Amino acid sequence: MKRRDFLLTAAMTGVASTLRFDKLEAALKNNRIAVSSTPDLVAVMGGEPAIMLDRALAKFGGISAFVKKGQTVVLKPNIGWDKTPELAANTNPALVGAMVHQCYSAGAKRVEVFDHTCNQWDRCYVDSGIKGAVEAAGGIMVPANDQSFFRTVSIPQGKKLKQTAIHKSLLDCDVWFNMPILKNHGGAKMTISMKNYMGVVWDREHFHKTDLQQCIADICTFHKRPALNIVDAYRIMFKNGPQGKSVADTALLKTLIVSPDIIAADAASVRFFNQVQKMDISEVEHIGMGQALHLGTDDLNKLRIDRIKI
Amino acid sequence: MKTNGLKWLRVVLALLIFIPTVLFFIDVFHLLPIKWDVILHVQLVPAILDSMWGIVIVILLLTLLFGRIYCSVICPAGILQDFFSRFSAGKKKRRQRRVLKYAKPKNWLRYTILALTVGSFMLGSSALIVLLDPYSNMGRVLADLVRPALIPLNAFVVNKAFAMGIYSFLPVSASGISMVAIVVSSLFLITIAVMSLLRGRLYCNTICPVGTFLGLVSRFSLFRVVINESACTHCNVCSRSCKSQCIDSKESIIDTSRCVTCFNCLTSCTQNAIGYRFAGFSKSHKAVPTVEKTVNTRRREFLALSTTAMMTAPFAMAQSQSKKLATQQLPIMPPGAGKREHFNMRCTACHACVTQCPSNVLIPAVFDYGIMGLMQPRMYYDKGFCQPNCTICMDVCPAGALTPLTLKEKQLTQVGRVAFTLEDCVVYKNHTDCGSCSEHCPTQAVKMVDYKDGLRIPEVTPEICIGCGGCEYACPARPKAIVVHANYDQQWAKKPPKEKEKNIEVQSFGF
Ligand code: SF4
Ligand code: SF4
Ligand code: SF4
Repeated sequence: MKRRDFLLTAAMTGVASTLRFDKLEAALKNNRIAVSSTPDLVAVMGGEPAIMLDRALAKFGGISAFVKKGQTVVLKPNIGWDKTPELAANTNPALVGAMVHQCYSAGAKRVEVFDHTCNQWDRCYVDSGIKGAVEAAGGIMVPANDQSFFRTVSIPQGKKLKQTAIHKSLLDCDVWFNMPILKNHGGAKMTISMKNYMGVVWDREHFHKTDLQQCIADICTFHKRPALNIVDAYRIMFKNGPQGKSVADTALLKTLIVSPDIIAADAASVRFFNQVQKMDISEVEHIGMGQALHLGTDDLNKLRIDRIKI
Repeated sequence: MKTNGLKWLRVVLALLIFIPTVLFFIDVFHLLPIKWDVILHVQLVPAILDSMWGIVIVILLLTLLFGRIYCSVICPAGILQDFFSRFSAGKKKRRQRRVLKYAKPKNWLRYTILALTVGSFMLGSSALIVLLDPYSNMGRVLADLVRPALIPLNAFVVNKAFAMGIYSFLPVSASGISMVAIVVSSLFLITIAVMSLLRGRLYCNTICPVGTFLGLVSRFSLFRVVINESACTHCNVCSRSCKSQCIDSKESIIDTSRCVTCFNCLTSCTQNAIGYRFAGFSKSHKAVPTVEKTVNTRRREFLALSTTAMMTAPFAMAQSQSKKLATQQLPIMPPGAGKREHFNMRCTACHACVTQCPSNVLIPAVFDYGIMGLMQPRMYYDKGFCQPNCTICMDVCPAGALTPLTLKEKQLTQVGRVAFTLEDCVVYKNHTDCGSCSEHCPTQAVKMVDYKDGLRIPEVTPEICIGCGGCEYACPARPKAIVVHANYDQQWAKKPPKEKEKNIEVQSFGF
């Protein structure tokens, strides 16, 4: 189906979002057309972050399938905590740096990186190693610790979350990538791609007091979807998350899971995590709720998955 | 016109200390490098309280050698008064109209205040030091009046820059405005403004206990401004140039205890009769006050001291009262405060820490610490929580009220303990997941444990809690389901059990 035809059909039936075209829709929003020839999910194991990223992106047709010349790109890693990389509380800095490189190699005009942190933001940016890696690659760290950097938008498909303030960088960019780290989470059970959205909003307290799991699923329905969810499982945090206490909470697994389908990415990540620490996917309620909101599928058997071991 | 080299030297040195001190307190753009706080360590009262005897001795020696250099070069409140005087003297006409003339020392008043301040401190109350120390008052003027006024400017610049895609300006959020600090610092500012506009250094020579104390030393200073009686025509012109009103040109006497060595008088004399000389061992100058006056003063001083004892008793008593308060109502002291009495006695409420805390955790207390702890900083977890990797407040405290701890020590310092109320918790009330508290807890003193229907609920282990307030800050429930109660004295938290690193390997993806 050609892009124009698809849009036409969608417009005519007016049910684009209720059909299972989410992956296609997300892809189309990000200028990606060649859907059928690429996998739904790519998992890579055994390499260094930059190499695994390269291999995964290649399967999707390279970074230029997502980033066009002159575009402004936003990367949203998890930089929530004032912790050093070996504590696995934040996304791997080498991975983020490599992604900045990738975007520029595709001709991006500007690559911005931010997170609404939990600890003091400037310390998080520096101590996570992410600021260093991003700036070395020519990217720009954008602060997110002030309400004035956020703009209120409506979430029409949200069940409990009807509107929220989202960071302007994300609202104004051409394309964005969701770059969570795989961690256990005391409240939400797991924090992966969906939970990573909580760093793009200003008012997290609202989520916590109005049904956390549903709000996480709701925010993911915001129309501007990430081009890819790039789950960093190089070093994961399997207990005491999301902050962790020591290296004993982490495991070095050297893995990367990438998918445009946020539900598939998180479902696969939970199954991967389950090998280290028992975690039933039904416990991570926001994944099921997201599926009910047609954000994607957790039925991995129906998807085309490419597994790469390095 | 003769050049007045000494005066210019004084002005330059004063600005070299004054400007960095002011910048320290009002740096809303975080432009200053770390360690800038060393500039605060030249101040006398904090140095005494911190037992920094080296600094104290240097200041005393300076005074003994050259007079009250502290008052004209080091004290930020003194320099501010000079700005006011200068401002009032700005127009030539006005300068002529403002008549400063010799005034008798208000000894009874100034010695009483000094005695009360010292006496009440000995008896266990720092209230008068907090209220009267000139450095701390200036700190509060800058921290509680000037700085908040600059925060909107910061927001404006940051947002303009943000819109242009420049992210190098760091936003600061406004810390809570403290009414009591605003009122007290405004009163101080108005007092010194009015006094200096009308009567030069009147404040320094009647109210300020530091000035009075240094005056006791500067009486004996080796170098001093003296009048050569034989050349003096008693024309009065030097008296009019003296902002301390301490030159009695009729008698050709200068009251060295009040002279702040500003050197303004040196070029005023047309007869070249006044000069700054080594006068220590010569008896060429007349002593002030006369012997008879001294006796009089002595008697008064004694009187003052005994009244002090009586007047300060209530302060001390009010202080011990606070011991009886339930810990729930006790304010939480900043990390490094250690013992409550130690902290309350040392802290002069200069608010250096309040301005530097990156998370706006510190706010000036009202009467929470009792009368004597007025405006001393307390932890307040409404706008933020204490950052696990931060030691800034302890690093900048010039008075030793907060002992600098290493990061390791700080991360085990228990300023208070967590308390959890199940009935208020979102998980219990709404039957939905939350865990905001546990998420923010660096020690996992609050941990999510299995509850029912797949939900998880907080469980607290107060012994390992450090009281950082992450949980209290993050809890979305109202009233908060989880709060921190102060420790009377700070303690060491129990080290969380050490968990062994396991070597974990997985071979497959699991899907
Ligand atoms: S240690 Fe805590 S209270 Fe002190 S300045 Fe840092 S964050 Fe603020
Ligand atoms: S105050 Fe709260 S967040 Fe801080 S250590 Fe104690 S339980 Fe944890
Ligand atoms: S943050 Fe407050 S409401 Fe949420 S789980 Fe903790 S105690 Fe309960």
